Amino acid sequence: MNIIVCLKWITCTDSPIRIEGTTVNERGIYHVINPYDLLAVEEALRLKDLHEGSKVTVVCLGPPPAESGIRRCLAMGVDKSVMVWDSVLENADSHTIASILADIIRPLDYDLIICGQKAADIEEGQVGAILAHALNLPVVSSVVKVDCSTENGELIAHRKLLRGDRDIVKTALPVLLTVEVGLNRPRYPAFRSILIAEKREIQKHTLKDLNLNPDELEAKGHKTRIVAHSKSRPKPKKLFTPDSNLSAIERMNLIMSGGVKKKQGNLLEGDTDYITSNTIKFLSEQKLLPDYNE
Amino acid sequence: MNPVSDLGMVGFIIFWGITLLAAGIFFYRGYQLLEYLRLGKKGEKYRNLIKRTAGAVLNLVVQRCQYKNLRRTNVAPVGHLLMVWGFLLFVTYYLLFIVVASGFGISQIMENNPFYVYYTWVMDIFAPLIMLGALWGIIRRYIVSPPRIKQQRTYEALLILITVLIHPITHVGKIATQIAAGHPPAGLGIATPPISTAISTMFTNAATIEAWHTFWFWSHWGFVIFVLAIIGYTRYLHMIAGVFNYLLRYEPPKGTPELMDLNMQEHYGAGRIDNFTQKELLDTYACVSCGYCQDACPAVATGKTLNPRLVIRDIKTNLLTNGPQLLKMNEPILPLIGGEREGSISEETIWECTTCGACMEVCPVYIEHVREVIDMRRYLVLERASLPERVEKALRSIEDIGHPWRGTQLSREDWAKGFDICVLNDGIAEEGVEYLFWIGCTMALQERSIKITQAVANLLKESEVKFGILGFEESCCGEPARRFGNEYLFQIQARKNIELINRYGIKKIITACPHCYHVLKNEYPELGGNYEVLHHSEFIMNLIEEGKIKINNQSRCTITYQDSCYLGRYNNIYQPPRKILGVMPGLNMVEMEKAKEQSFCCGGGGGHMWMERGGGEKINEVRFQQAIDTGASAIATACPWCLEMLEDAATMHGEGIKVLDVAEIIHNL
Repeated sequence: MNIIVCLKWITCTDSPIRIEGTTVNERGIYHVINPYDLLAVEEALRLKDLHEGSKVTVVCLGPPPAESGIRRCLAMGVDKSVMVWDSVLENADSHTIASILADIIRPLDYDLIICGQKAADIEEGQVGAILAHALNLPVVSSVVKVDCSTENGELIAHRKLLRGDRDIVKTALPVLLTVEVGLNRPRYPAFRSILIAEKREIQKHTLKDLNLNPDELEAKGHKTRIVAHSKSRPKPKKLFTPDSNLSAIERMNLIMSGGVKKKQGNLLEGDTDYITSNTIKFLSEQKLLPDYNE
Repeated sequence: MNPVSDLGMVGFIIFWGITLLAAGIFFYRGYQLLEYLRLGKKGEKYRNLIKRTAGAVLNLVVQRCQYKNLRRTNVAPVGHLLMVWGFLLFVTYYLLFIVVASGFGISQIMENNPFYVYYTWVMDIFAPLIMLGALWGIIRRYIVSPPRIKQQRTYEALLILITVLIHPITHVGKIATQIAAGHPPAGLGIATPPISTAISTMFTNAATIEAWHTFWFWSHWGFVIFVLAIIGYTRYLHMIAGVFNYLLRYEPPKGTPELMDLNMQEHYGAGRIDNFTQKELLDTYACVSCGYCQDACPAVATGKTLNPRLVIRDIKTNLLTNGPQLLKMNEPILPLIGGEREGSISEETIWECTTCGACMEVCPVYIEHVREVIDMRRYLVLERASLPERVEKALRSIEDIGHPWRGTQLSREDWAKGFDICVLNDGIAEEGVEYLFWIGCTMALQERSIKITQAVANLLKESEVKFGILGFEESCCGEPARRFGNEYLFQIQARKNIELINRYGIKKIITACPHCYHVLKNEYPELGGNYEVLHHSEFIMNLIEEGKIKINNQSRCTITYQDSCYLGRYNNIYQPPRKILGVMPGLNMVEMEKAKEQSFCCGGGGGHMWMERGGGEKINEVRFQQAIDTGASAIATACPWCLEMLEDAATMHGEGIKVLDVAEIIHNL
């Protein structure tokens, strides 16, 4: 199985972001690989481990510093990497990016394309869907679980809906998935693979190498354009008091989540014994079971 | 009179037979242990070996290692001192007057001189002292014993103590019968040994004296060579390994992990017994299982799975189990990490360590537990990439955004708003900037710690010190990464910072974080960063002494001081913060029971600032309790982590206890 993962090099949302008009002041700003895309890489690698002979390729339209992010993916176990950059891409919109990605991916051999659901910085969430359209592929969005069998060329994806509901989709390969938080935990590369990744080759292309004319792109203009940035609505501060019984780290998490405690889902997962006993417990707690006198 | 030559040829054969047999066992075991030791990696190159040897011999003789644990509540080292000094005297005696004199039948020559007479006299005094020491040991172990010893009522310990107890008896018996038989070690005008003389009066039957003397001689020698034979198999081994462990101890600074070569290697860190350095393996031979480390360890005190004594024991067990296999080039049969049996250490245990160094401080044989723990963490992180989620998040945060406080809304320059502080920048000429004020991640990005940073900045401005900060360019010093075992990330961060600091031509650094302080001062020089680093408490103390800071704090309260491990134990800075507190007229300074060298960790070291707590009590709460037990209504710290940990505990067990940095105390309380 050949899997392609698209990467975006984004502004790290944890760096001190100061907005100036339609741009962000670069002072003190860090850049990282979009965390959603890391989930995609991990999922691709997980599928690679399950299906022998699989190959994972990452494609990134990113500036030269993005190389460090690509090397991290190589260290995680990605087989091949393609990096494309041209300065006109600096302010490109989702449509332009997706169409260039399509041009890069079209000649490649693939069964599955995985993208992040959205970029963590501007959260447009467009590229995956437009790319699927350009490649004439089905797209399954907000995927939180993937089962894939290569034998009959089928893939079952669990989509995340509201309130913990899931939509289970069966689709034929090739397909494009956009993945959502909760899918997996990206692996931490061992040092040896980092060292090996340092020496691996990254295919670097300019738009011209791909027979695309940057000037033409620029002239064509973008379908969308950023009018203004604003910081997300400030998270409610001091509306809650972190429980002082909690440790610093737990309180930090609480503050980061805006004081909202994780909702307790009532979906049971596990072996039969576990599910049975908990179902009975639930029913008896709700007084839905008749009392048995011993 | 010589029980060996008296038996003629048979005597010599028996004497040399048993002696050589015991020596054979001793040397065979010694060879075996050395071979196991050689499985380890070659450690560092040692300089000043002559000086070191002299130091080790001196330490052996004066037993400096014992005094550090000598306290009002623990006088056990006195008993040990008696045994050691007695033992040293006896060993010399065995060699000269038994092996040489009796063994070669030249007693007449050897014993007819004042030296022999004096020597037996002194030994006569020491024999009961040794017995006293041994008796004390037995009583402490089996009757009135502290908890650390209660767990160790092993047959091995009893055997050792009994051999120590009995062999002076046999010696005195031998000398007493010698006196009774009319061959006192005197006759040169010096009095006979007092105790033996007194005992000799009990042997009145002239007919049996000869037999008694023979009995005492052989039983005495039997005991001695029995001990010789078992040295390598019991904790007696520490007599030899302990001396060498001190001789080959790591160069200071204390607690600094080995700088790892990050080129392609067969393995990283210690995941197998032969990945430890030879010195680290020698540590385990030297261990006496005395348990001082476990008494000092905050993890043990709060009921976690980590126990430094057991870590060392497990490494030793692992070495002895796997040694023969590894020598035969086989795979080890007992895993070092993750096995169930004794001799394996669980991953959880390895992550429990706060690297506070209390164990290393008290260890009488100079074992460096923390190095071994970090070596194993390196294996887990670099080789196996198996690390707790929290650790991974903190490490990723450092990789991605240069500090471990992911989620903070603050930037590195936010605290300095309205302060008019020179931010060193490529554009600005840094003339007149004498000091770099290294802020550190916590001090810049945590709301509470910013107040300390601002207090320090105020003091520096008040005393007109010319200083600058790095602002956005500053990046994590790498300390958490290194303690987490990610040497790679540490070196990346360190090299990045060193390049930056060198670019600005800075030579002097002030920092308010002991962890940054330790790394900048002790760990950067190896990578080419040589700076004069000052902790803010030292610097402020100097400013106060020079009269540049006016003290106008009139508040009165009782205050105690929490020693930061990295400031105190790692860098011996105990006095400056105390002096600052002493300068305040209204402050009544009280010490906690565990203070200075014996200070108890706040629970935030070794990366635990970013980790979820394990089982057992919370270390910070235990420490907070110790602090308020002194009756203090405020706790002073000199470390942002200590402050945060203790303040956490204070909000929980409240009672209005304030936790403040020494820099904050100068102007308000």
